Amino acid sequence: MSVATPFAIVGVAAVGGFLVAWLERLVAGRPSPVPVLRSIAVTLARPIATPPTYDRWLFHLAPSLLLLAGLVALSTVPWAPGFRGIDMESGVILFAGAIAYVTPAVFMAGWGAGGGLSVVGGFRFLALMIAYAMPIAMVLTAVGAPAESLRPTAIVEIQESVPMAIVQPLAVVLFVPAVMAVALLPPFDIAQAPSELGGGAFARYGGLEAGIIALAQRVLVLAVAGMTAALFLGGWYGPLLPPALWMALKTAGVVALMLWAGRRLPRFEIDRLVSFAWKVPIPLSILAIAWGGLVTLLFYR
Amino acid sequence: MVLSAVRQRLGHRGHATKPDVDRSEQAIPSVVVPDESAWLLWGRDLRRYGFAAVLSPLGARALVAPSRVPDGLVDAVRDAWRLLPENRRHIALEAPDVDGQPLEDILGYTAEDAQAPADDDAEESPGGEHGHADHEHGNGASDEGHDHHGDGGHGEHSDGGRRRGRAGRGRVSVGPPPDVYVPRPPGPAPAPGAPDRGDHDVQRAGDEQQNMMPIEGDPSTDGLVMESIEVELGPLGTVLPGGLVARVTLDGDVVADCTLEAALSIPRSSAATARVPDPLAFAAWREATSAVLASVPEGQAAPRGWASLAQVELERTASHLVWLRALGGLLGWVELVDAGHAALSPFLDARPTGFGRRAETSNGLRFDLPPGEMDSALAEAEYRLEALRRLLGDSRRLSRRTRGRGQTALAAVEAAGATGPVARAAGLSVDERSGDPRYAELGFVSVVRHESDALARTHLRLDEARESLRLSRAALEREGREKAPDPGPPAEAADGVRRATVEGPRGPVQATLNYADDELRFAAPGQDAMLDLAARSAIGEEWSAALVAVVSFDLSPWRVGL
Repeated sequence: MSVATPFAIVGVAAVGGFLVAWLERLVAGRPSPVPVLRSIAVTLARPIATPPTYDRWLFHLAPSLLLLAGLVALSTVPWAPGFRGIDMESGVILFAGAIAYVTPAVFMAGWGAGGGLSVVGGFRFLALMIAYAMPIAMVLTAVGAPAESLRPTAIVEIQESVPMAIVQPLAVVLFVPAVMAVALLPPFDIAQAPSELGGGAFARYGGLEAGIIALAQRVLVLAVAGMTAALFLGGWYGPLLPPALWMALKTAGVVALMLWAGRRLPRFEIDRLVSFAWKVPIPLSILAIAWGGLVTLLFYR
Repeated sequence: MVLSAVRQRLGHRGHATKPDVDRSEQAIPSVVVPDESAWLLWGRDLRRYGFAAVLSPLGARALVAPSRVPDGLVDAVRDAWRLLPENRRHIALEAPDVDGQPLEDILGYTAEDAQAPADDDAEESPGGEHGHADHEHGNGASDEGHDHHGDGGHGEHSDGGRRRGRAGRGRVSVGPPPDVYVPRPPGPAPAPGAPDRGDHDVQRAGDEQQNMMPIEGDPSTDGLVMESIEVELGPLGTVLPGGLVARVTLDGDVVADCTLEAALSIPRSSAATARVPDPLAFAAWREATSAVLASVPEGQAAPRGWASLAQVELERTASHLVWLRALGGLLGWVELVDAGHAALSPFLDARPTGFGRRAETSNGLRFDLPPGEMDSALAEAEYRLEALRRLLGDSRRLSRRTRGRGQTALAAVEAAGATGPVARAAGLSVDERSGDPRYAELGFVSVVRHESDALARTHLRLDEARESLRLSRAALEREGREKAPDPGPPAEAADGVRRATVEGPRGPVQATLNYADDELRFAAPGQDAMLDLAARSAIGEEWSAALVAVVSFDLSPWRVGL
């Protein structure tokens, strides 16, 4: 990690955030990027909001914490052999640890705002953590087993011949919805739920802080999609094209898939989702670990 | 002050209508709100009402228009501005996708205008109801200041003097201090010490009122004693139709108590100045009004023929589709929103004017297409409705969110006196069309289901939309070729009193004319019952499920019969 690394990560976050926002429009059938730029300008032109009943520290810290969580998660994504942010031996754990901070950030935003529906939004996301956190943790363990490492680059390198999605299909099926929930994407956007909570936990933000939240959400989407591409789709491996381009294409494909799925499914109800998570994804995650161990013993040793 | 809004529809060249026109004779309803108050409807609500753009609130002193005005509307905006009296205001609605000239350039609004003395407005405000410039957030009793961010539109309005001088900087641009405000509906007074909740930047999702109380009282269903949260949704910017107000007490995220109020109304009118009391069922009310006026010996109203039947049925189709689209929005199901919108699109005016580049979002519904265009529009609508039926047919996605929600026992529906699709979804075969010989000739069969929940109401409305489209086509094929059977004179309710009833999209609509005093009265049987049933069905449900329950009743915000 060099001195330039933080700047590179921020640069990737800024450009990637814009591209994710544009991709949202593309998936919706509106290709023009101009409204994205206009929306950014309009948001930043507005003053920072100060709700009448709010906890100053929680309210104003939440957007920064959310963005920080997204940036740290993004920094663990291996984009290309020579282009990665933080290449730690426990990089996958750092990724999981970073996205774990999304939960307190959202809760702080909802609680700090002090509005009835904002608080409900914050509590909803707190409850949702049970549904997504355990599958993510267990799936990361499963995909690390064949590489005998939790370093993301090591997991990518072991996929040179066969992507992990083929070896461990259950793991990817569990991982993608879980990280969609972390990234507050529909149909898991129950903390915001514009039509139900009118913005929920983030309803009362304005101006720069609203812009930070919007950026943080896109950075989170980029981070979880990038990590999905790295852990399951072979990362930068692919014929003809440069490695970084392959990684970018795979990441964009995962983002598009997530956005497309969000348009095709109604939003989940929190009580039913948590109940479902206890009964299906969490037990299946244990099965995914067992399957990961089995394929490691059979094919990777 | 009265705020009217003018709808632009096909055949009108983008100009505001004259204020004193008998609206019973035209297809352009005006939204008029009494009680010396005014309501500001925002973009999505306006589209729901079929408005192309709000140009000139006739009778008021405010102009509401997109912040950037498309070229096709520039002249109309300028004309509407000229129609307003001298002490006029303007409010710019944010329209993110619109390209055009800035509103303030068109109006010739200058920085000097923004320096109007604050006290002027305060002096004009009777009873302190208007937004006082010297109050940072306006009057605490009036819930000004919504910043609505939802799916598909933004509508914002000004908050008194605080933003004056900053016009054009943000998304709300304000002329001189506005006298347009959203009155707080009657309700419980705020708790002592409750904070002023007037900040425009933070008011979203209707009006949330946090009422912190000591944690005491009966335990919830999970055994915990929870702190209750008071939430007020509406009258604007929520998933509910603009004008509908829900006051909810949440126990955690479970609805402990709920009341609903339809807060919009139009004053009673005479036969000479007949106004439609609910613009959401315009064709049905016009049909009922025409029928009862035709019973007057010297009556000039149009006979109830095939064309008027087709209009009523097309309106029913459109109303149910708009509701389906709103349900999709509530569920966060964009595919359903798009499918519902696609089915509506043949009847949306496609002129490149109004809000948004996507012209279909900017113009009102039109049921007066030329014959050739109407045929193709009906064919396309049938095709789109079939696609919608395939989407919703056995959809687990739909049933997961709607089955069992808002379930109401048949006995309760009967006892309450519910009508329309809500009653038919509970198994009651109540439909005014059943006794109409015109419908009998078209082979009409009333659609009835028995589950009486949100899922049943969804399927019933979809089936009714398809049936109504079929009836419209059949009626239009007969138009001009064969005479419609005479449905007979309106029923004689009493000596010298005639009553005509028509099945509207949400239930029967009833116009009563008293020959003696020439007074026209309106009633919507079952409206109060459905408000009550919807509120009761929400109690005990988790917040999301409660909203599905309430929305499934398709309540009108227009209170009829006051």
